[in-house]
Amino acid sequence: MSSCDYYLINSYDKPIGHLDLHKTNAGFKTCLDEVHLPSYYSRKPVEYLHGKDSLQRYFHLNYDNKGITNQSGYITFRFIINCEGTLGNFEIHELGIDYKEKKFQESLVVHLQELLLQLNEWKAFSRGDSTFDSFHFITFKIDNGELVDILP
Amino acid sequence: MENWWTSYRNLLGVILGLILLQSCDRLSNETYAHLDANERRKISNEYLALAKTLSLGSPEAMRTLEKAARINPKNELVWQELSWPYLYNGLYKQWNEYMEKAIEINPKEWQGNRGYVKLTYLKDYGGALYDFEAHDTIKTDISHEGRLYSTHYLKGLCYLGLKNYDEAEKSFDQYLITESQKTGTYEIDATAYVYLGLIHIDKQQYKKALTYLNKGLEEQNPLADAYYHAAYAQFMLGEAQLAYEYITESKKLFEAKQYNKQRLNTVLFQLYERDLENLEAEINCFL
Repeated sequence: MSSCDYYLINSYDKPIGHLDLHKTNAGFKTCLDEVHLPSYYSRKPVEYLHGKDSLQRYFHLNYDNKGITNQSGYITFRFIINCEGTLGNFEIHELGIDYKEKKFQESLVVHLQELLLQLNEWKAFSRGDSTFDSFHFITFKIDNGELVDILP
Repeated sequence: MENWWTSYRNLLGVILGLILLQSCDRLSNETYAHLDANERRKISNEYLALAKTLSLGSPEAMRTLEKAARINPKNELVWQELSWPYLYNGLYKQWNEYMEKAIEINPKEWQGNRGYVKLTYLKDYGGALYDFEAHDTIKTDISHEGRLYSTHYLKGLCYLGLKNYDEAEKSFDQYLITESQKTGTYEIDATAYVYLGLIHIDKQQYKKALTYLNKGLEEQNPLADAYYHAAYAQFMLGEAQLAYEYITESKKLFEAKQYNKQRLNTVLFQLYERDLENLEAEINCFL
């Protein structure tokens, strides 16, 4: 008994980054319930249809710091892009500049999510002639309330 | 009082038992106490090699990596391998936690690497600079995904991102000097010339900018970026015809995908098709 080690192990039922479908996600449907592929596996980038520069321009033009000037860090929205190129099923992560969890003011997070939801044209994950559902993400880098970068 | 304590103890036992029962399928009774340090290292590396043959971030790969970590918790390669799927999925908290474990074990090897990721993936220029400053007291090159990067070059990018153009210029100049002395000019990253050109464009020193940009165009793989910024510099010097020639070359290289880019991230001063079109339109007004 004294030579036995006991470890609690992670079961890892799903791939890292997998997003389960939320029941509250009205109107959004994936093409295949079981298979969501990570976007970085695609050779053709999974991204906004009109290009990264359009995406950045859109957010920089429409972003409003809601009077917040004392918060910095990263707000990441992870979501599914279905095979038709529409997005839904959000999961939100908020981190400080030290990469530890942090709570941003809710109005700011809601504002960014609303801006994101207005974008409906995305390039779906493709392999050959087929398109698939994939999970993808966008991170907003905030510096003293200002939007300074959009990753990746 | 005693009855209260007995009841409390019994209740605690029941709760703990329930927790253990819930965790039964996650409870492993592996034992490595009989292995010496060399055996642990060897077996851990074998599991690491196996994990690398599996899909990144898949349940199988992650379980195999965690097993490698349990066998040898000091195997820093395992911790950094565990971090990658989180980074690629925008789960930066978990990425950082695993990288910190690798750095704790071997800061010489991994702190610079973390700085590279902070710079390229997270645009955390200050955080990256901190890691590079810590790193280059020991080494001057950082290895990432099989490539070597000069810390002078990477610090130049950090200063550029922080808009400290004087320090950026010093770092890029130091990079050019160091690389020329080491291996000859052919291995120099052409983007260093592009960034030096940009620094001087920002200072409105267009002729000096052109010196660097043209040097970059003499390198083995000229970039659309160098032609684009040279076109702008010529345009600002009133040389519309020369500017037109440069922008035409820039467009050709851009269509051939020969411009500064990374697969998953944008780079500093990322060039887009719209930039080329806009500059061309401006130049055409003066032809």
